[in-house]
Amino acid sequence: MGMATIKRRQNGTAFDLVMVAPALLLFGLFIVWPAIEALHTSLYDEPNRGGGFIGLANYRDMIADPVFWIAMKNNVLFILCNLVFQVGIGTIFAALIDQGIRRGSTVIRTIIFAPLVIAPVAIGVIWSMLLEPNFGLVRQGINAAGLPYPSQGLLGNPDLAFPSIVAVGAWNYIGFMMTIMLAAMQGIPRDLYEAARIDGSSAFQTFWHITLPGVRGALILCSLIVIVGSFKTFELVYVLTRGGPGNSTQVLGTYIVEAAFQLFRPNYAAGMSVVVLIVAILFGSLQVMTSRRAA
Amino acid sequence: MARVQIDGLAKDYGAVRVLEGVDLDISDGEFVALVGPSGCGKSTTLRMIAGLEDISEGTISIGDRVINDLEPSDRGIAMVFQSYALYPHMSVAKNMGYALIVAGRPKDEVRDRVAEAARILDLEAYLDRRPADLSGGQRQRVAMGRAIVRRPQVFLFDEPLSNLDAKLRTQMRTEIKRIHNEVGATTVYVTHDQVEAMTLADRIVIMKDGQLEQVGTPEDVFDRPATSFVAAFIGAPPMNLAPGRVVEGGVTLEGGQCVPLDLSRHGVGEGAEILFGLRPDDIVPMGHGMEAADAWDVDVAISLSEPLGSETLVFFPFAGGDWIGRMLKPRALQRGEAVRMRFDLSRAHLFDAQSGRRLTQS
Ligand SMILES: Nc1ncnc2c1ncn2[C@@H]1O[C@H](COP(=O)(O)OP(=O)(O)O)[C@@H](O)[C@H]1O
Ligand SMILES: [Mg+2]
Repeated sequence: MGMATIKRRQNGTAFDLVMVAPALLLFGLFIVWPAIEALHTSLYDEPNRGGGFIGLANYRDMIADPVFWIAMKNNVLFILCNLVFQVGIGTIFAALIDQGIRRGSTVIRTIIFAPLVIAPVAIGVIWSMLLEPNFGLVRQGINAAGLPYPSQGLLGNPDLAFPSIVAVGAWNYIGFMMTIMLAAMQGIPRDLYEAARIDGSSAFQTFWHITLPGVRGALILCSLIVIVGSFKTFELVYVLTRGGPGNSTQVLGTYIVEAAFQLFRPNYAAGMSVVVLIVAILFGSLQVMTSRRAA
Repeated sequence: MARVQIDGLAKDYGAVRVLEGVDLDISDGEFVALVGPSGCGKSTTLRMIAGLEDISEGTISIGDRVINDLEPSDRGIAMVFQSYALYPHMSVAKNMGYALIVAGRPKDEVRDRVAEAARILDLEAYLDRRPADLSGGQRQRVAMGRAIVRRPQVFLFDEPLSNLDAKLRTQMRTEIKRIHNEVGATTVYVTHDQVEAMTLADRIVIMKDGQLEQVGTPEDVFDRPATSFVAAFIGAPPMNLAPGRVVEGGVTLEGGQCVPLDLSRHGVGEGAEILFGLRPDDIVPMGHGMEAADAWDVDVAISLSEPLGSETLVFFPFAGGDWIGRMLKPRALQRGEAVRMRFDLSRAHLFDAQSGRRLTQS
């Protein structure tokens, strides 16, 4: 029995409560209270329309609001794209490094991992400079190669803005996904691969039958991180396009801000945050459950 | 058909040569054991046969086909790993059938061949289980099943029993022998356990520091060890060895003991520096009924006795070392008890002190 346990026995629950109190306080103050407040706010009318209790009217508005559905659809699309590009490509990179490049893999990992330590807002700013329509580095590069570049730039073009955001997001997170997947892959015993070689398993068959099942837990974890992260995504889109052009890159995060501060419908915006929160809690608890099972 | 020929095999890891001059000719259906202390190059040799390590020098052929540059799966070999290396996410049946599945064999054929291997190995009841749900002995069987299903020309084993407890190890040893008799494929079996090698193999290859010390039948290596290293490695307890010098009519050991030896058997001249060796089996207390062809009796003081049930090991100081004798009628001896030991000098071995090479002619 360790010292800590003995101490705890002596001090009892009161001591435990004191120890977790600061965290509980902060959590309550900045997470739980605002959530309750948002739910409460969403049941009332906008201040400039009297602010009376209107029940679920804001939620009914949402169902009828085409922009809400565009944002929702973009969010779902964003999740799917990020699953493919971040988790999918991250996993493939991890497999390549795991199988081939043994030496120098730390250097490569560091380089690929680096974007993760940069705040998403900063990433957005960096990339909006790179993608600036008139003088941005990307335009200069593409022009130098003699290729055409859309006159409004990538982010100003309704068809290219969304893919561009997906690409920047991938640049941001592939390294993180790859690092998690690589760690999982390196936990697979080498002699399984040797046995598979003797059994005549091709590289793809080995990946499919041995590597993938061996990293199933990590794959689920990464997917849930991406799903939750993509669903509540905000900074990157806001800095790069603010949801535009038109509503072509509108996601719930940006639409909530727009509704609150441009359309002056804070109560409606609160209603949408409640929806995001509920979905996030759903996937979040899935994530906690699977990581607990993995532990 | 599946004869394995190894010629001038060498292995370098960077600038370090870990294996050199390995020549071995294994006939079809033969069971050969590679033994030696840890790090002597057994696994490296086996893995070069398997194709898991590049061959730095020399050639390996299986069934008259040089396989140096073939993929592991094209060599006609199957390997059983020390860790078993079972695919953890596949059922026992899929583990065993994996090679056939990835080769695109028809489902019926896969099922039949897995069923046949399962029958040989008594695994029929476990085909749907995952490796994690099996005992150590069962996993070992699945690993062998995976090898059998491929119908290889050569079976390769790398210390397959060292993860099992002593009792299971003895059981599985018998099992491996039985399967070898039933399947009949050429087998190369790596172990650091000389008892395993002695009991299983038709021929034993003893390795040391990346070189072959001796290749021979179990009787050969036990009765006529080619070097003092082999003499000390094979046999439990090991052969007693003491340094000495050849004099007229015998050998003088450290401490001045003079052993009367018929030197005509040993091919040494007077003055030669040698190692004098005698197995514990050939040193027995007087009156314990050993038929000694060339008896020499010595009074010793017992330092320790170890009753093993059917026999007792007797330890006594001799020629500057601790020697071991054997007593067939079990009796505990007192520490310090004076006993007259009978050495059967007709069984003595002499080795060159420098090279360790055997000098004794028969
Ligand atoms: N991948 C490797 N790189 C460098 N040295 C190695 C490697 N594998 C084995 N060795 C060396 O080769 C020698 C033989 O190893 P091994 O064949 O595994 O021995 P054994 O199986 O007899 O215990 C050892 O000295 C070991 O340190
Ligand atoms: Mg080994």
